[in-house]
Amino acid sequence: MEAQEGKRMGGADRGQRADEPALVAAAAGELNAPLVLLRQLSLALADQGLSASERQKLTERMTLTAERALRITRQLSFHSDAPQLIALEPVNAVTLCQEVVHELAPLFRAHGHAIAVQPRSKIPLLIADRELLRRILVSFGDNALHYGSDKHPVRLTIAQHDDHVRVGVRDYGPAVPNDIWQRLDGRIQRRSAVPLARRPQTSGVGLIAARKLTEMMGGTIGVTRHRDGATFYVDMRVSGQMSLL
Amino acid sequence: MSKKVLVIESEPWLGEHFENLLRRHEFDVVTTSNAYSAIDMIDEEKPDVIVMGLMLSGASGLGLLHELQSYVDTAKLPVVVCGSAVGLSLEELQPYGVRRLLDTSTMRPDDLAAAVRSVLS
Repeated sequence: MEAQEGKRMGGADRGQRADEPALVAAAAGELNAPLVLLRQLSLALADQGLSASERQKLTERMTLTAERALRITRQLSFHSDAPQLIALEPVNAVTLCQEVVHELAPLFRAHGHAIAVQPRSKIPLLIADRELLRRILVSFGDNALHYGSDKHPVRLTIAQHDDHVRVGVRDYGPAVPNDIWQRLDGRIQRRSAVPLARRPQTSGVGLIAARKLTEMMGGTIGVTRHRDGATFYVDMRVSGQMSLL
Repeated sequence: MSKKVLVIESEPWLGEHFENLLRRHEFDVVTTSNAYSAIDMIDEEKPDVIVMGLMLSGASGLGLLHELQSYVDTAKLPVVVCGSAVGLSLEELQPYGVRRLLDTSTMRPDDLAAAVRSVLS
């Protein structure tokens, strides 16, 4: 597999086409949220009684919301083109996570939240399409913003596990006491069959596409549920280049 | 005395917008984005009406509605659901205590207060 580094994966992945209707439905659902918000914000902006600072706040929110919608459409484009375009290369996970934080920080600040990379040293390079992996992590970050609490920053975590590097996005929701968790969660899961992944802003593109794209890069995707939040992560193979350094 | 509305909306900016719309019509409004904290707020704030989306943090909106139906003191609390493309009709949601269903992709600013007033009357 290491020999694939730096090369493009050729040929269409026919398997992914089977899930296209689900992805289209998920994409429609996921795009719906920012579009609804944009519409409501624009209606609010039409109010003549707003102060200049209120107008400025609404305008900024509309811009950030439009950017969120554009990130979703970009991810869809990636999904469509990925089989032909994936270029695997050694990637420094730490600098990649810093780029993700840089991209999402304005949106987090506007919501009164924070996002940061958990500092790590001695992490080997991983194998991925750099831009694709960045988009997947941005998508996780988008989701974490809407689930996480403003008391704890969302953290991008990086760790080596045997022959792969795990890059995760950890969010902190409200801590739920165990007894309430068991009572509510069991019941809610049974009654409404809403899996963990189906959280707000995670109707599908963020996970359906991310899973497929991660697999195309030879990695896997997963989620760990914590009592006070969740970690969405990708496991990518360690690059052989590290041993040459 | 103004009526109290609990807004439960996972999208904070949308929740804040709903809050502003309702305050303008002189409702007393409290807001949360999370289903679990909503349960606590219902106990503490004792709202007269709930305005909520169905995709919530912590649990689904339907899960919360079902939970509310489980208790005598919350089962009759009127609920206005604000959603878009939720794939559910008002008839399907009525057993969960939902009295009005507003489509956020078409609703106008004054529709929300009108819906809240209608379920209070």
